[in-house]
Amino acid sequence: MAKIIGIDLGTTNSCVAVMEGGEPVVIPNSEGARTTPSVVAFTKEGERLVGQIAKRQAITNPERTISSIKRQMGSNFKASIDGKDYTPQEISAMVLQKLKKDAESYLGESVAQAVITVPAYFSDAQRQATKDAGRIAGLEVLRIINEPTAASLAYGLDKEEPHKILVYDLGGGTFDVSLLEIGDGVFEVLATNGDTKLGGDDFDDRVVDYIAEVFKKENGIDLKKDRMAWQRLKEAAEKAKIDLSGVMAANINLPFITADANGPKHLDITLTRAKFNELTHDLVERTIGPMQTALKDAGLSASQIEKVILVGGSTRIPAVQDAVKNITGKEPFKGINPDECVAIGAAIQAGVLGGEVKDVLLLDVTPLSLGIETEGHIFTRLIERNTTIPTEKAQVFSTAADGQTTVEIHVLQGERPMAYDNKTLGRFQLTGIPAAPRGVPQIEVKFNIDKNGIVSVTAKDMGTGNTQNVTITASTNLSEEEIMQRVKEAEQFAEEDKKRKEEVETLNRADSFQYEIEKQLRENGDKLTEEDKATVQAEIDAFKKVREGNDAAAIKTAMDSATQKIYEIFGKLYQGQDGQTDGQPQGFDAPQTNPDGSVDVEGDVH
Amino acid sequence: MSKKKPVDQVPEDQTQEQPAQPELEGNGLQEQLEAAHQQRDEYLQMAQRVQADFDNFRRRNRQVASESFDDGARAFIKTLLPVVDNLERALLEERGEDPLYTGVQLVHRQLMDVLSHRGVQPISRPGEAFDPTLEDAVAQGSPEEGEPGTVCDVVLKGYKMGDTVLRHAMVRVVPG
Repeated sequence: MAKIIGIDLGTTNSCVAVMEGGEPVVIPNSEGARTTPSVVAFTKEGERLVGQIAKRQAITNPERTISSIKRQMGSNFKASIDGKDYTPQEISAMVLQKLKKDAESYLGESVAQAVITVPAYFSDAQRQATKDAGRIAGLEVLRIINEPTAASLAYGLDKEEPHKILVYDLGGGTFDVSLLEIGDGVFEVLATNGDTKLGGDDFDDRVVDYIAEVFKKENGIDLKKDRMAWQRLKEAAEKAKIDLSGVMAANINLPFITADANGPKHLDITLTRAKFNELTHDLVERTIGPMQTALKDAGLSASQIEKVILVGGSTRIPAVQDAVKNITGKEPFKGINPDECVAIGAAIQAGVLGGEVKDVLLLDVTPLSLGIETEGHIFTRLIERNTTIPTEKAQVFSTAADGQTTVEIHVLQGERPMAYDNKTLGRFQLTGIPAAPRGVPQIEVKFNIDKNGIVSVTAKDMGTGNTQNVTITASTNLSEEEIMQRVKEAEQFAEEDKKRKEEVETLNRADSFQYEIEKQLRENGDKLTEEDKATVQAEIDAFKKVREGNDAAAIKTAMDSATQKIYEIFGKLYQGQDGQTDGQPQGFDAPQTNPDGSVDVEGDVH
Repeated sequence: MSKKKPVDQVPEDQTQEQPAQPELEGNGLQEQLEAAHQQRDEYLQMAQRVQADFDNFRRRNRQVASESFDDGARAFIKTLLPVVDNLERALLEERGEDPLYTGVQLVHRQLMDVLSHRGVQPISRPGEAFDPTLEDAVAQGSPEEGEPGTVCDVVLKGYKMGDTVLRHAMVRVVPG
């Protein structure tokens, strides 16, 4: 009965855990440490080093050492080493391979399956890349789950009443905040935010700078110039930071730190927690903005947050905990090592999949909306952001021009109403559509997101049964900054975008209107009186002029008045026909707007 | 895993209802048998799992028990190493025949003897090829300081106890 392991594949450190006797256990690596640096290096001889050992030789072998590869996941980045190119997936796979090997030696059996965590804001491409990394490492990735979701699982929050949770994750080099809704074992991400360049190292640096400054004032010697002294100071600063989480004052005692003409110099400074807080105040402040933005994005007030989880080693800092408490008004959960919490949650999920843990239904959501481009560069959403996955949605579209035999399906991800403001995930063409008037062919576009968040899009010509599809691969993606930015932009430009979209829709409707009237006139013109025919022709000519002006407001007014007059005339036609036609002629009207605001009928023009 | 209820509740309910409905023959019995089989398989699987976990735990535990004494010693010695470092720094500046200096030298030797008896050995390999299993590269040296890829300066000695590195030596390495 092979075990399934849970892996927290982090930017700076990774961690692996497994269910054992019904309890999650963190697996120590071959060096005895419970977390492994996500660093990969190659020696000159081509030997591969992973983890702490790679970190130890980084300074002397920088061109063959790769760290923080997670920041490149899903991008086209290649690490070029000794003439060989490595993708981020391959580098991540090397970290995974070490974790797998260490887990195997701990468990005394081979491991073939895993659950891996990713940040909640990871795009489909980044998730796919993570999955691929697993496969390269010889692991079947049964599930990709969000890090904050894993953290909540570790605290068993899935088993309780529905509630809203804030997960505050301050790691070695990145800060993420996520808002989740959890109820009856279902997890939903409401909002995410963060700062990709903020972490524990920044706190150490502040302490080092401060002590070096004090020492310089007292002794006139700049410790930064003495590499050995600097190294000792850095270690002492980190230790002091850790100590200050438990005590109110820490002693930094570095005898013989340096020497001048008068003999050896000693460093003996006491750092109080108050001073430490003062030195790092702005760093803690920098986490508050993202928390507030996330709350705003989720449409929640701080008082609606019921539970708070702290993840990442830096959340041991009392001032950080106080800041979170001040914003949320809640005492954060404690008890699980914040460095291990995510891996533990992944192990629990792995246990669920392996049948060791029962009764948890775990669902994640899409981080951004998905859809396609329709006439006039409008982004038509098929799947709204934060939709619970796996999910599938289909919608029928049509052509925009007479005799159009090809449609291009332009798959996009984002929150802005116009296609060009969003991110292209892929494009493909559906060809061989039988020539027909615009609006007649029926093209079904179907989006499918599987349980790992991987997107595939299928377009089907309902007439011929021709099908084309694309699975979104890792070649296109958004960085985490871009995702955050996109959501922010969508908000910022909401008014402007709405106006622009309405304008384009008006223009589209105008074209459609004009086309239909001319068609009616061609087909049924002989049934009208000459006078009526002339009136319609005059109306449509006048309307064309207005249309050319591209002024949406004017077009709308002109269309309204023209519609009324023309319909009256065509109406006479039907009165003489025994009411054979109920409702509207097919495809006559402007795009039908669905209750969700998306637009049917109009296909892609390209 | 999308089942709303744990699987084993279904057969349980049926078993409980059984005595009250003796007229359940034929199909009813067949269903009960299948349910019982299913339940049996599930329990067997659970038992096997726990057994496997326990075997593994026992194996590891035996190992852990024999290692934990050494682990404790190692952890403590690790905390002593900075004291050794500082004692050595105190001795860096020669004081000729100064009896205090000589005394401190003796204390240092005594401490090193104690450590040596516990199997603690210093790691200091200037001139040898840099080895990341023993050393932590904290800086690059200059090319004229030695052969490429060798340790040109041991900034801080490392220590190992048996085969376990207690602290990696901090070294500067010749580039290349």
